[in-house]
Amino acid sequence: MTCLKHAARFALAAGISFGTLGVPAVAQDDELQTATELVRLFFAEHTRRFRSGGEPLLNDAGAAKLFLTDDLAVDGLQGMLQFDPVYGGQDADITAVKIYPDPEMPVLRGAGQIRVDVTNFGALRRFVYTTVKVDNAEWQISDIYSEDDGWSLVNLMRQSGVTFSPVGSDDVTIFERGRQASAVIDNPADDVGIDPGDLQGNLAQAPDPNAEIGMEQGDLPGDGSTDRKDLLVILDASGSMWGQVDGVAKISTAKQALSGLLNDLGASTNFGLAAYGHRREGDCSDIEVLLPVADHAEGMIGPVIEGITPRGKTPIAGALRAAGGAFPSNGQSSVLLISDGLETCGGDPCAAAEALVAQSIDTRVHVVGFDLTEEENAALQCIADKGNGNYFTANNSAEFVDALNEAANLANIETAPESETVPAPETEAFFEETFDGPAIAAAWSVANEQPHLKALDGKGALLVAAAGRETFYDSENAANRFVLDHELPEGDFDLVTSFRMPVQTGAEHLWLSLFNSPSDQVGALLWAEWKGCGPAIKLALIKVSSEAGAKPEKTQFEAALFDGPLLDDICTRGRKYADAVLQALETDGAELRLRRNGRNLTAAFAMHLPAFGEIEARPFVHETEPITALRLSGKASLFAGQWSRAKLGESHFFIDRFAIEQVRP
Amino acid sequence: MIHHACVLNVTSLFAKALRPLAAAALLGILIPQPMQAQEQLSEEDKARLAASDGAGAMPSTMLSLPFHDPFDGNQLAADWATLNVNPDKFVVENGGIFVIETGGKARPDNPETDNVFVLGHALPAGDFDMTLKGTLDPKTGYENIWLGLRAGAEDYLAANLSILTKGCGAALYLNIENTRVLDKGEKPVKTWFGDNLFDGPLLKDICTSGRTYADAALAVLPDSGFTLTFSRRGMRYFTSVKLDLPSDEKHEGGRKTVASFALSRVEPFGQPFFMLGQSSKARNGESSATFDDFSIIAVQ
Repeated sequence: MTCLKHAARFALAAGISFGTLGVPAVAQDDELQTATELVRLFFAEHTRRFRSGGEPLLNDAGAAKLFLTDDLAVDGLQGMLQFDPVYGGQDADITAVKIYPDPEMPVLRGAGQIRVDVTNFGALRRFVYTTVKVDNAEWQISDIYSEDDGWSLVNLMRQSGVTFSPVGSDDVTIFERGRQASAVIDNPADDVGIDPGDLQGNLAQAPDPNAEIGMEQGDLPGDGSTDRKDLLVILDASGSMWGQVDGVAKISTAKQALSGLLNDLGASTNFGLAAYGHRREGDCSDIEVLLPVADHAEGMIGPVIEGITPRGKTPIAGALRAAGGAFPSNGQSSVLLISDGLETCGGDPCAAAEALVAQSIDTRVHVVGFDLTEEENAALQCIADKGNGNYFTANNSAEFVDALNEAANLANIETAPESETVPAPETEAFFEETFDGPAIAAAWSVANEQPHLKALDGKGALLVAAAGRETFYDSENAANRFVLDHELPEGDFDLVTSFRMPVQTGAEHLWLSLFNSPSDQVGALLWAEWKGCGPAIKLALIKVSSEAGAKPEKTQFEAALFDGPLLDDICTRGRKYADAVLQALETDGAELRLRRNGRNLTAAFAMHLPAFGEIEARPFVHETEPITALRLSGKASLFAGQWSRAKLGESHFFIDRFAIEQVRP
Repeated sequence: MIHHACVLNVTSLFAKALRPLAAAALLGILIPQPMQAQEQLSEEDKARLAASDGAGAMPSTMLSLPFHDPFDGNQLAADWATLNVNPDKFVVENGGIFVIETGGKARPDNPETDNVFVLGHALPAGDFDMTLKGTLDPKTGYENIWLGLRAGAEDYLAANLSILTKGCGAALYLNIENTRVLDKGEKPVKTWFGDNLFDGPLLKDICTSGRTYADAALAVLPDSGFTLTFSRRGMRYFTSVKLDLPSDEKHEGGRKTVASFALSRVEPFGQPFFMLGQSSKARNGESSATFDDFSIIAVQ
């Protein structure tokens, strides 16, 4: 077992702050000044371009890369968002700017929190920039959050279907470029009264932003088959949704939670969205099915949610009647009603729910009551009762997010009877290594072997320690790459490893691949990332390929597991649960798979989530979208490494099992 | 009074370039040494100390756990050896070892660091907690306490409780450092985790309202002192420190413990050691500490 297990128990019992879940070391004030300066320069360059009519900075990945972490630097980003996240709107008349470290929480889990107060068209707009240190120890902007509207740049990008890539080893920073190149920025800060100092970033010579090839737009799951799960969300957009809970407009909380929910839905879920009160004041007929239940592309849904503006009344009964026409078939379906008030148009929502259920063999109506009194909750309870569903109350933002996720989860499970009737494919181990012998199997070879950084622990695990900078899954010189000289089965199979991973550098990564060479392989990657709100884990399926002499090309799908699929709100209430999940990853472990199913390859991550407070323990599985492999080659391979942002730290992995599992139909 | 049977100037004996001489010492060949120290060394002690600096085999005697030394009396017990002994900079008295350090070069990777206290036994296999209690006077703002396992200046894994002074004044850090040669002929590779205890774990805002409390927290070091523990679990090592902190309006105080991340060694190595270190920024200042109690317990 891991040694920190005991230490963690000891530490928790003593009420101590234990390093694994604690605060990373050291952001000094002078460093925060550098982070603040970075944001000032970013804002200045953005403003210079705006005023000169030039290409928006966020559309120019090469230039943006100097300020933003590489995963946020995407060509044409602002165009894709149809929105300027720096000013928080589509147009700007900036009359005042104030940029300063957050006085209450200048550093949150190692990330600098820099506030930007902008007066735009006479209205104060408040933003928080999250800045993180990339591997060269210099600051980069990793997110922009609007306090007024509750959106964040990262979430907007996700909603718009913009592909992210793992932050790589070579983030380019404005300061680094400044040391390398001569000045070409012609005093970009003048317009906003900022002294650019000795800024010397050569934006024109920024790295090629197209170097990383990611998921293609529109390449989304769904085959239109009728055995999918159907979920229609009815969102209350009556005027009362502008009321605030926890200092945030309820509509903002609802939108953010809905966006998170989208990431949590399985690929086999058809989604639909209806709203009422969002177009006209005082109009009880203002009910609209914005998106009929279907397999929508990811990029379509986010903007629709964002476009909802509360205005009118609360015709719940009418909305439930309209819901009946939003489903494509008469099969199993769920309606999830989100409301912050009672019916205000004279209808009978309970009767409408009953009628809706009667239309179909198995329709359920779940309700999330947001910021309601006990009496109001009791009044809406009958909708769930008549709708064969469940009722959830939420009195604050965190409870709302939890309730929404719980309700959606329930809807997902209840409407998936096929999982009970269709037997899962059987698997059997075609090859298995349990690391409990005196040595690993002779079929393993270890490239760039470093015996001081790996050993069998005598308890049935292989300990692998990653140290140093050049320790990536696609690095030629990475130490201790385990390659198995063993045939692969015909047909479908899984490469699978069971492992435990203490997250301590926030740069750990575990890679399971079909390996020809570091630049020619396809695999499943599970990695830790330490950004503004503490450590998180991500899953990706990555294909690395290269022509002779050319730079390797990467095709990938990835999922931020702490930003929807497994949990969300790690920046607020969810942080403690996230830490509990990471502790379970260290002590109880998880499973990573690279799955071959016909021509499809996917990456899958599974673990048993711990109980935490009112959250019950439950199994969790997430699988990426597939990459098509017309011809498959390579040997089974396992690699444990770390991104260079680990700096001098060590990443540790306990590999409990590796297997090739043959799938039998 | 120093017990010369276990105090030895090993600078010339075991500096890397002179390891053949260390081997000669093992064979009983006379080499230039302070007569008093050399005459009182047994062959077993020589072998043990040679191994302690990476010069040869492991010590011949295995430590029996639990081990405890309260440093009573006026001399070190025979279990201990002092590398690069400098009797002008330490004394055993009043149930502790009072140590002073100057010069700003006292680190475990400096083979010339004086007064490195090394336990002359091999550790048995298995998990353990090694604990050092003491007091530290943060006079220069650049002193540190080291506790861990050491097989040489290029081969050690140790906890480092450190005072470091930056723009907003002195702060307390808990670090752990792993130095070893991974590839023969190459430079040693160092891995490290560090945590500024005044930037989250114990307190915050030392640049503003927290400065006063930070000073009060530092003031416990020469008073109630510290308890520094270096732990092995399997092939992983980490450190933790306990402090009894004062309370004020914003801080509840009481006993606080903070632990580090873990570093690894896949093979057993080295001998227990501790020392007072000093960073170069201390310039001409003098640092001092008293080590009151040392123990190692096996952890099941």
